[in-house]
Amino acid sequence: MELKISVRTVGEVTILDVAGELDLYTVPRLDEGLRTAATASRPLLVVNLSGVAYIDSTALKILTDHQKRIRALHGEIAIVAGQPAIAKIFKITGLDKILCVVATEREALEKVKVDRPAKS
Amino acid sequence: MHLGIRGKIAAVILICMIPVLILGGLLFQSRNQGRLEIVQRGHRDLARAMAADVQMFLAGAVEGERTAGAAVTSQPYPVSGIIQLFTAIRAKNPSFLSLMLIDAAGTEVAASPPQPFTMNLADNPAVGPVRNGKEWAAGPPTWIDGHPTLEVATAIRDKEKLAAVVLGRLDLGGLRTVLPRGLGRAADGIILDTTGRLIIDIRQPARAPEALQGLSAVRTALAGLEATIEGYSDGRTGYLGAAAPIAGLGWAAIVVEPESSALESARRAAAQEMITVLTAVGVGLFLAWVLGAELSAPILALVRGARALGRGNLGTRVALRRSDELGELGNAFNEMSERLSRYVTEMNALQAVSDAALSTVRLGELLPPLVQRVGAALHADAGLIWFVEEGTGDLVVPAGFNGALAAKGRRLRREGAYSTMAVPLRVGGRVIGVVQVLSQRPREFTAHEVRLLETFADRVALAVDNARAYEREREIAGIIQQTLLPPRRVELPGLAVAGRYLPSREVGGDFYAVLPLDHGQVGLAIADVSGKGIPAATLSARARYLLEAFAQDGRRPEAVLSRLNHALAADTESKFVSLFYGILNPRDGTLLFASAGHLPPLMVRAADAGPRLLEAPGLLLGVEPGTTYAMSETRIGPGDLLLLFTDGITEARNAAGEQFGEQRISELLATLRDAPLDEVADRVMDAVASWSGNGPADDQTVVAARMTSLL
Repeated sequence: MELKISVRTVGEVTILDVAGELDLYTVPRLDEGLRTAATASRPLLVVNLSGVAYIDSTALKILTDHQKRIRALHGEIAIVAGQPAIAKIFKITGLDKILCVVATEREALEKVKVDRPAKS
Repeated sequence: MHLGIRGKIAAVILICMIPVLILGGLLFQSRNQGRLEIVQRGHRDLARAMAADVQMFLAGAVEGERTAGAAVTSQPYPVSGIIQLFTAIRAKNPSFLSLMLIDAAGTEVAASPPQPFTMNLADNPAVGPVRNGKEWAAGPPTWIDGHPTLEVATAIRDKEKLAAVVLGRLDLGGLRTVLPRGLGRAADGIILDTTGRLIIDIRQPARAPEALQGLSAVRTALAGLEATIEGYSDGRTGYLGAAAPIAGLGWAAIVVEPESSALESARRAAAQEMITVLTAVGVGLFLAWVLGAELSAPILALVRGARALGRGNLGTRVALRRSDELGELGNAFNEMSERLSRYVTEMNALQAVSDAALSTVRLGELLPPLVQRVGAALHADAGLIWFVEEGTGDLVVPAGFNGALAAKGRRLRREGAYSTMAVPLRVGGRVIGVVQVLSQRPREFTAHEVRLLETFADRVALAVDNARAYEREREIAGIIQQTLLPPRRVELPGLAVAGRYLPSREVGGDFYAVLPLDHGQVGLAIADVSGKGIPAATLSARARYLLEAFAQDGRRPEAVLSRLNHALAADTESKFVSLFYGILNPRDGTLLFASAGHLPPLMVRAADAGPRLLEAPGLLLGVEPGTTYAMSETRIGPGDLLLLFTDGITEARNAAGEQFGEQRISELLATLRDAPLDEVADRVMDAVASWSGNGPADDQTVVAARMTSLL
């Protein structure tokens, strides 16, 4: 079960490209990746799951946990669910209402910039 | 400047040579100061040699005269015969200008060449002393036609009595052919008589003989002692030289050489010496370089070896066939390299054992590779693990450890095992078993190998302990899970339910429930708790009991889900739960349902063309505390089929990684509308099992329900 996470930045947004399978065994690495990527005082993060073939509920849990953490820091996180199967899982679980799930990276970049809460 | 080790060693040797060079230089300088003396000594030697040559020349003449005289006095000889003999002798020795036989009274007997008149030679300066008893005597030199000549008389005796005298006149010009031996090109040899008159000057013309006569050195020589000539000049050139007495004659032999020439040869000698010194320095440099190379070559070899070692060529050896410290260093290097290689090999073996220990938590799969690697690391032919049986304390080969032995290649024959070692497997001070390696050939296991086996045993023991802990956990989780599940078959008025649950390797959190409610209604639920093992199983149990409690309150599905969510979300540590909950009323065929992020079930109705999904939006339980759910409603008639399942079914993957998917379930279900309920559930499970090939990666749960009749 391979999982590759690479990090790049577009402007002030950090993008995590995740490829492979997100399951019980690989999720700790996603957790670690999100933790190290979102260290800014107001992190702007895009998690691109376009390369992900499989995602299980533990990964969903990690994503929601990090969203809570990032929002507490007045940051924003958007998830690119490029593949229909992945998008469907977000839809079925109802998490698409909770998380910011979009189909393309461009939408995600717009989302994190627009949704960025006003400075408190 | 960058010097390699070779250059540095050469430099050190050269630096050590500096004092030697300085000493050599000083010596050279001091010898240079004595050069004049050497030149003069040479001159003295030459002068002495010249004097000796003159004496030899004279002695030769005396010998000639004596031979001739003896010949003619030993028997009566006619005068004409004497003249004939003397003429023959003169022909053989052209230095004799004349030879004359004189009787004891001093009167001429015969002469060659014949004299015009007979002479009384009694007072002749040469003959006189001979007649007075001397063996031979020479007169003063006289010049005939410019040639220096010398009369030499020799006594001829008959029984000690003077019988005759032979008087010969010698041409001293003959000395010219004798004397120049050893004389340098620029040097001159001069013979002076007792009065200081010049007799012979080898290099004519004579060089200011008058001036020579006045030299104290010349006077000294004439007086019979050797002397050195300095400060002599012929008006143009200054000379150096030496004078030696010619014994028996009172003459002097003189050697002079122009100062410039003498110093030139001194300079030449100096240059020669310089060349010698430079050659010595050159040889020294060469030797320094060779010695440097000899010393540095092994160091460079060691450097190369160290680099090779650094690149990871373990076991690199340097070949230094030397008996000195560098050879020892080479040996130490080789030893280090070998140890490093052995160490790395052992580390790799340990890593291999650790990897095998971590590869799985299932005891049956764990032991064979583990024991095989332990055996390989110790170059043993086989390895064996024994477990201490609880209760009896017997050592037993663990169940599931196929073949008992993990041997290299063929199985080890019992009679083939010669050498063996075994160490205990310890967990927390308790011996849980033994790990043993066996060798087919007799061999000695070193203390180091025993320690290595002990290190391996630690890993094996840990792995075994983990595997056992896992097995226990799995067992417990399985028990919890099984207690949650209803029987495989439930028959209720108007409704039959068949459920199938296949736990994955690590027990997950699937459960389903069939809940008889008030007024003949039946609650039907399926859920999937995220995570695995005991935590998932216990959360599963909690969700299951909460669901039952809330369902019994007679609430509608969306209310039950809201309350469930409220209860589960309060616990921040809790995982997500997806849950579908429907309430079926067999009296009127209504089905009320709500979903918390669960896969929509499929319904196959006689009225419809194919299976349809019972979709209801809703967030997973446990995400947001205040989440509300929406209720949906549909109708279900007698014979209609309902299929609930978890993502272990839809996401089961084949070898190519393709998921089984909703579509395949739907297609399969379309063919099973009229099949017996158990068959429906089994067929779905079988289809998924044959799709994925090996055991389930996730819990797989299927619940099939059919309305049997309307009450």
